[in-house]
Amino acid sequence: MRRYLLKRLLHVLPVLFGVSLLSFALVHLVPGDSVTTLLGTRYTEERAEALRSEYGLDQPLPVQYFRWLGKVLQGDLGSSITTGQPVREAMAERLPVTIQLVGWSLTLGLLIAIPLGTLAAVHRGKKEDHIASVTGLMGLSVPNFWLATLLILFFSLHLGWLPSGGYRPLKDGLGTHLRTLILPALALGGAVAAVILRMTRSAMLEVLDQDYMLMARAKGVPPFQRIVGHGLKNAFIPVLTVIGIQAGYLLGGSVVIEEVFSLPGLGRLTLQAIQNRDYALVQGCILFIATSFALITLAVDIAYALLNPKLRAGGDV
Amino acid sequence: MLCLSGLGGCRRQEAVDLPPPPLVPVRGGSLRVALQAEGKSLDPHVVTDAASMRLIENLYATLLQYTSDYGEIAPWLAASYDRSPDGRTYTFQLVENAVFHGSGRRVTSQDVAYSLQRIREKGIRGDAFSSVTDIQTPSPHTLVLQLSEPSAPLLTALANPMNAIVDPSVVEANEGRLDRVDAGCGPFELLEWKQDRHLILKRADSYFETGLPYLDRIEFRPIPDETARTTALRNGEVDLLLDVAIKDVLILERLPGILVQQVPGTFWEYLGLNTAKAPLDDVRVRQAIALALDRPQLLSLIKFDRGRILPAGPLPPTHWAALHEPLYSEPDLETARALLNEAGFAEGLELTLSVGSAFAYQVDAAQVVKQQLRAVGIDLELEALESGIFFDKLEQGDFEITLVGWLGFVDPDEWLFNIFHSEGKWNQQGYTDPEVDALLEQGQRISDRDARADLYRQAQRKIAQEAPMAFLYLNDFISAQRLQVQGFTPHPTGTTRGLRYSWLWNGEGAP
Repeated sequence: MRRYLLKRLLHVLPVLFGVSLLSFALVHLVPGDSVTTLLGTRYTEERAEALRSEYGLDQPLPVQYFRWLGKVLQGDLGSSITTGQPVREAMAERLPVTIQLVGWSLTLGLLIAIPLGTLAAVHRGKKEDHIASVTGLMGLSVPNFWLATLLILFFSLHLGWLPSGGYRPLKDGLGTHLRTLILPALALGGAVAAVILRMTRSAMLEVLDQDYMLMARAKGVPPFQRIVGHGLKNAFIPVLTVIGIQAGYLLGGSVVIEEVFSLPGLGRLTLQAIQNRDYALVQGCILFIATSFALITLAVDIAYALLNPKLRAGGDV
Repeated sequence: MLCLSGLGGCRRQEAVDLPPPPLVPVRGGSLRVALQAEGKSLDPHVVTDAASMRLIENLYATLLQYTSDYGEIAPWLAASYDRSPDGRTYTFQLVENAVFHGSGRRVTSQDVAYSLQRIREKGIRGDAFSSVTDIQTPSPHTLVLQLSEPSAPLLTALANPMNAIVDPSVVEANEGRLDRVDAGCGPFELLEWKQDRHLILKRADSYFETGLPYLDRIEFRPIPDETARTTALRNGEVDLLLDVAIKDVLILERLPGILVQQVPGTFWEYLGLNTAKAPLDDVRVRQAIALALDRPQLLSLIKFDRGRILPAGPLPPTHWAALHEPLYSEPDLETARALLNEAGFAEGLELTLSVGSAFAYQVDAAQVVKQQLRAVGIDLELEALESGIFFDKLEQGDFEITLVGWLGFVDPDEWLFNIFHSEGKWNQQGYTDPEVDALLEQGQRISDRDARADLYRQAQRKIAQEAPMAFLYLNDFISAQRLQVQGFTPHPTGTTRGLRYSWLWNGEGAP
């Protein structure tokens, strides 16, 4: 197990290096630069030169990269070119919102997907299965920004139950907090629920056909225990992979949803940073999101091992 | 309802039968205002985006201020001012009871001098003060500006909300950056700014105009999504929307409990024709484009007739220097075709029209323009670009035709000089004309209003004829508010400085 973990961790390192290189390169490959954007209509050559040297943007790209990487490794992500605020501080302010949004979306997604997917598999070809596949198809085909607008119009404007946007932190009370996050979580979690639902269903179908399920039935294990304890546990490995990947997509999807529901999260910060060509901020955000993705994948790998003893034992995975 | 028109149309809800509000404003209450975008910084001398300006302008005071009568200015932090007969010396007498929020120190002429110096150093709006050769402070409340030559736009520049008087001690304490702090002496002070969530102002008790402001607090919330923004107003989550999108106006107007107010704004849009590039270097081709456009149709399709077409120059019809001549009020396809024939394009020609993809209404307008110009044999290829790239290209003159706009100008010099003078900073069309140059230069130097108006009309006429731009329309500035909000009138520039006169009607008989 330890060897497996060590190996997985070692695999992550080159990925992270690649991530840092890409997040740096991509930002600089995009046409347009922060200095022109910052100066806007007040652009003059002299002012641009002065700003470029102030932010070290007049140096060759490799020099800029290694300087940046050196600082990143010391935990210094630089400062925003538009506000002067340290990037780490700006991100730390926004991070809780995005984590909560992604967390609630995933929770909501799982709460919908796992029971419905299992139900669909158990009642294959029956009413439950049809309901599940229609739900899944809708969740997949409806774009989240459109779903978001519909949710606002229905739950906020028409019924007046929930606010149309804004954010209240957890310390204002769980109820108040959830009121502001439930619609965004639903809009964001919808597609995720659909993917997980379909995966759960097909994985469960496969498992249900296995001999050990028949055996359990023959031994008289009660249906619920049989399906959840024997079936779901075994079906969960492929589902887990999907959940891991979806968590990454949720981070990306939060950009759109945070904008629609005016949530002060990392996605919106990233979007504004890109529009302002705020290099340090964009790099910081992309680096963070990509690193999170890599770490979530690592966590999924570790969870595999915990769920599947075969993976733990074998050295060559 | 308070409904200060004089600036043009102003809509009110007739459906609601309410008793008139009390005549005496009530103090207290918290006003929630929705903005379309979040501000980037709180430094008045640095910002260039409208959202930041909305957050900043109530923290600070300026020597002079705009009045509700568009184009006019009035004293503010300077209680009075005096211009020498030769127009080279201005003397300002400051109010004596203005106090900075942070330090509690009285505002002196030294602080004003420091602020003007900082504006010049920051460069963003410094050009307006380029003729100032010396700033003297003979007494704590007297400020003298010496100019190298008379400058007519100077007073308007001093009323620009971003040419604010800042507290030098706050600037020093923050290493020269005012991005996230309040260094002002305005009617409200900064309580909290959580970016992308809200910016909260509270009444500055030390504010120098006795009895003002009425509101205890103002909370600005950035709500980028249009549907969410309108819903927030309809649900009572916010009290006031600024700069309402046209499609939402149509909905909001029909709702009881909401007042929509509309004034001719300062946001004007145009087709920029790059005079430095063939075939647009040929005045006949440019004129043909200007003549072929059906502006009333554009206004109706894109703006639902809210706003007005610009048949001649860019200045709003309510402005004292506006040119009231219907040069391009109706399309003239015959003349346009004849001009193209003459220029050697009888077979038609192909051009590229660049727009910013973030500005959906401009992308839409570009589609209509494409259809309209097809009638005279001009085939446009549309190019929708990401904002950063789009503005880079404009700056570099790397375009053929563009559809874009400007906003926020007051003095005719602001409207015309930088955009149409051959040395103008924003002359993206590469337009040069010695006669226009001379007119615009003269306009900066003389101070007689009628004489200036005449100069600027001549300049606009010449510009319209030579068509470095085909002017399209001027947008109305539209705000929507819940009926509790009293004493608010939208200003053509979009400034919210009038909020110090606003109050909330929550007592007896209130809606």
